[in-house]
Amino acid sequence: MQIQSENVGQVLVLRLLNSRLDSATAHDFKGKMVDFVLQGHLYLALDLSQVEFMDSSGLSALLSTIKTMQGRGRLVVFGVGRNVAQLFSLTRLDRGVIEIHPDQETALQALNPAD
Amino acid sequence: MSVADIYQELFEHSPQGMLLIDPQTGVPVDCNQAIVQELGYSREEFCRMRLAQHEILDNDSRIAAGIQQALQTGESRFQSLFRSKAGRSKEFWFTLQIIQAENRNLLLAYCQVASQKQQTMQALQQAWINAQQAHRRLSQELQTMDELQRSIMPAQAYVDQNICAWGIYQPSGLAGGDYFDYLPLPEEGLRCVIADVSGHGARAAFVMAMVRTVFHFQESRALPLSLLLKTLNRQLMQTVGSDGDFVTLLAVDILPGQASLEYVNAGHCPGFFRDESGRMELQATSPLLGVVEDDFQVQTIQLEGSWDLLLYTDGLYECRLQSGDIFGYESFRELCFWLLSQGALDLERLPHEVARAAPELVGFNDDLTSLYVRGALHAKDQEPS
Repeated sequence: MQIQSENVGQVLVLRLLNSRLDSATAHDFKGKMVDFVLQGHLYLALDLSQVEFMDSSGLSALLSTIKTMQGRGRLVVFGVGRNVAQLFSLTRLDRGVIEIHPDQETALQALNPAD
Repeated sequence: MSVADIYQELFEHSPQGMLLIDPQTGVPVDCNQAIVQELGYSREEFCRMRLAQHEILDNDSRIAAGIQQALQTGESRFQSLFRSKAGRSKEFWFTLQIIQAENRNLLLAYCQVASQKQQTMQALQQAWINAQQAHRRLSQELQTMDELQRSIMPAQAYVDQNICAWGIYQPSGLAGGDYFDYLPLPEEGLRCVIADVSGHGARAAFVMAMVRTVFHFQESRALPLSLLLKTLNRQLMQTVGSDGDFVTLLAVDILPGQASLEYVNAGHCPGFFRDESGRMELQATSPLLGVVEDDFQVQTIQLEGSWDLLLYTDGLYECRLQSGDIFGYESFRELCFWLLSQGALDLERLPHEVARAAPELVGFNDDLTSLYVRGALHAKDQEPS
């Protein structure tokens, strides 16, 4: 799982470069996300625009990261494609569990309210 | 030069170490130049010592074991670490073959110094064998889990005067967490459930067994779906929720006496319902289980005449195409409603129907589970209001 990172203010923007977040990549993704949190990055904006497919293993890894951050920081996602949006919708995670923004700008605004 | 002389020359000048061994004593009867040069002995010195005396032993003598095996089977192959006269250790590959000479059994031994490359190759081969054995054991475990999972799901269709329910589970071989069931309700009607635990392997199978246990408690059958799912959700949050594991689940109570069907869809892919007036999808009514607290509101569909309901897991539409895309929910939905409308739905054949609808299909990567319920409501079945 390749993840490109960029600091924007207090937010770490993470760009997933793989097209699939599934059972083959989920474990690696989860490990890297936990590393970012342990390094002290508590405001994460996850760019999913390259991810064309996510299965239940990928979703589980994402939920695990969100749970890891609960009470300590915040994770939002943006750039969600059609298949992934459908997964969030079918599982009803788009209704308050996963914070979804249309683009990086709005994601950063949500995490940097003072800007 | 006689034939015997030619063979003697071949023996003597072979670049490979060759020796004749007396199997009774393990002492060489004769040897060629190559072996004594490798070990730094004179031929006389070498042929006075038992071969096993040159071995650097970690436990039992491999020479002794190799001789025994050659005597029993006619041949043996092994490797052993030898010490040269100068004290250097050398790894040798041995092949022993039993031959008859001078009215007695002798062992003809070919030996070759194992190079570093050969030793590395040998180590790699051994590692490969170990990995294959471990993989075989793991596959057997997964196979056992698959069989166990299959055995705890209904093997027979449910049939009464109003309802016929039938489900199948086609495992992917990875021990997944799919689950389907149908349980008669205490008063009347049938409770149908389909669920999918995130991930694969022992953990998913364990969570699936938890879900099944909750549904099979006699007390649970009397609970309304909203309360049952609330209880299950809380249990899952306590046990597996912190790791990101979750369960999607669609549970349906079919109540012929009330001419209704009640359902709760906790983040599961929509069920497909069709009756004489049209079709509808049983969309998610709550988030998936194990993640957040929820009230799990029940939705109701009024039943009239004959109807069909298809529940399934996402493996059936998340199958990969050559383009890298997936077959997809919409395509699957249209296929299923078309099959239902034609009265041509056969659960066993559903994956084949998907493959037929998507010729560029690469294959299915997940467990495939589906549950089909058909019902017909007659006026006499309805309780007077």
